[in-house]
Amino acid sequence: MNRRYLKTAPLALVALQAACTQAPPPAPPDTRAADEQTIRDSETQWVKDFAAKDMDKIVAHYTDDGSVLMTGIPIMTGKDSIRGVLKDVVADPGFGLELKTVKVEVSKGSDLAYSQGTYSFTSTDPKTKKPLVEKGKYVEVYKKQADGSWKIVEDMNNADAPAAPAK
Amino acid sequence: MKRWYGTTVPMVLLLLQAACTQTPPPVPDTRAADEKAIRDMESQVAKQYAAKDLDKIMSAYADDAASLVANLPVQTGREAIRAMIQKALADPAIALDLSTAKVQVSRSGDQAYSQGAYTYNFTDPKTKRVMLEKGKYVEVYKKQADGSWKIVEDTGIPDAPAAPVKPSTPSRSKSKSRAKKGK
Repeated sequence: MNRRYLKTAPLALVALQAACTQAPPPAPPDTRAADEQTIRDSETQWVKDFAAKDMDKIVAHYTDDGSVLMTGIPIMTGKDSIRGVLKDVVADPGFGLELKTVKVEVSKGSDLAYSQGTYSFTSTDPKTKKPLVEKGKYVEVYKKQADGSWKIVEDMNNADAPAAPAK
Repeated sequence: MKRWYGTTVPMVLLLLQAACTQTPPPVPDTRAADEKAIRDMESQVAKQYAAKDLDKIMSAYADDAASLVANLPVQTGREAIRAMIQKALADPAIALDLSTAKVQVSRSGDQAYSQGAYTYNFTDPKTKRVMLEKGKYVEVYKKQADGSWKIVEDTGIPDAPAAPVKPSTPSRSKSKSRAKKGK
C-alpha cells in the first residue's frame, strides 16, 4: 500500500494542480470597459434617434419597466406612458436635444451601470412661439439585458436654471 | 501498472472533485442584506434633517458624490454638497422625507440604486411662507471598502412647482365652511 501511494501521490498532485488551475471556470471576464463604451455609444445614438423623431428607436432605449423622472410631471413608468409623453415633446417643430455623457460607471458583475451628464433641450415657448433653451443634467441607470444590450431603467433630468430664450 | 491505475484513478477523481468544488468559494449573494441596508439609510433621512445633523446627513455621501438638484448646476464632491445642505438647514422650516419605492442591487454587490418619492418643506425667501414640494428621486450607491453603502449620485425632481403649505384650520371652522357649501 505504502509503496503504491508514494508513487501515485506526485501524479495525483500534478493532476489536481492542472485540474484546479483550469477548473472551475475562471471568473467571468471583466467587460466593464466594453460596457462603458456600449453605453456611451448608445447615448450618442439616442441623440440621433431624437433628432430623427423616431419614436420606436427612442423608446427602444428603455426597459419595459423603465421610468422617466422629469420636472413638472409625476414619475412615468413603462414604455407606453414614456412614449405618450415623449411623443408630444418630439412633436414640437422647435424640438432639439443634445446630451454630453460625463461619466459611465459599470458594476463589477456588469449587470448594472449608470451614467451622468449634461443636456441642452430646445423647445418652442408656447406663449412667444420663440425657441427656448433649457440646460441641465441627467443620470441614467442601465440594466444589461439577456441579449447583452444595455437598457435604461431610470431616466432622470432636471434643469440648472429656468429655460431662457435662445440667443 | 494496470492494477495500480485501476485502483488509484477513482481516488484521484474523487480528490479532484473535492478540491475543485471547494475552491474558490462562490461570492456570497448579499443583495437582500444590501437592499435592507440602503432602505434603512433612507429611512433615517427625515430624522437627520429634523435634527439638522449635517454630519449624519453627509455620512451618506461618497467623497466624489454628485448632487443633481433642480435649478442648480450639478454639485460634485462632499464640500460642495455640504455647503448646499448647510445653507438649506439654516431655514427653520426645512423638512425632507423620503419614501423608498424600490432598491436594486447589482449581482456583484458593488453598485445599487433606489427610486422613491419625497416631500420637501422650505421657506419661500420672498413671501416667507412655508412651501411644500413633492417629487421623485433616484439615488445611485456604491459599496465602500468597509462594506457600507454611500451615495454617488443624488437626484430630486419636483412633480410640480412648490405650493404654499395650507395653514392648519381648526376642525370646527372646517365643518362650518362645509356646512356653508352645503347650503
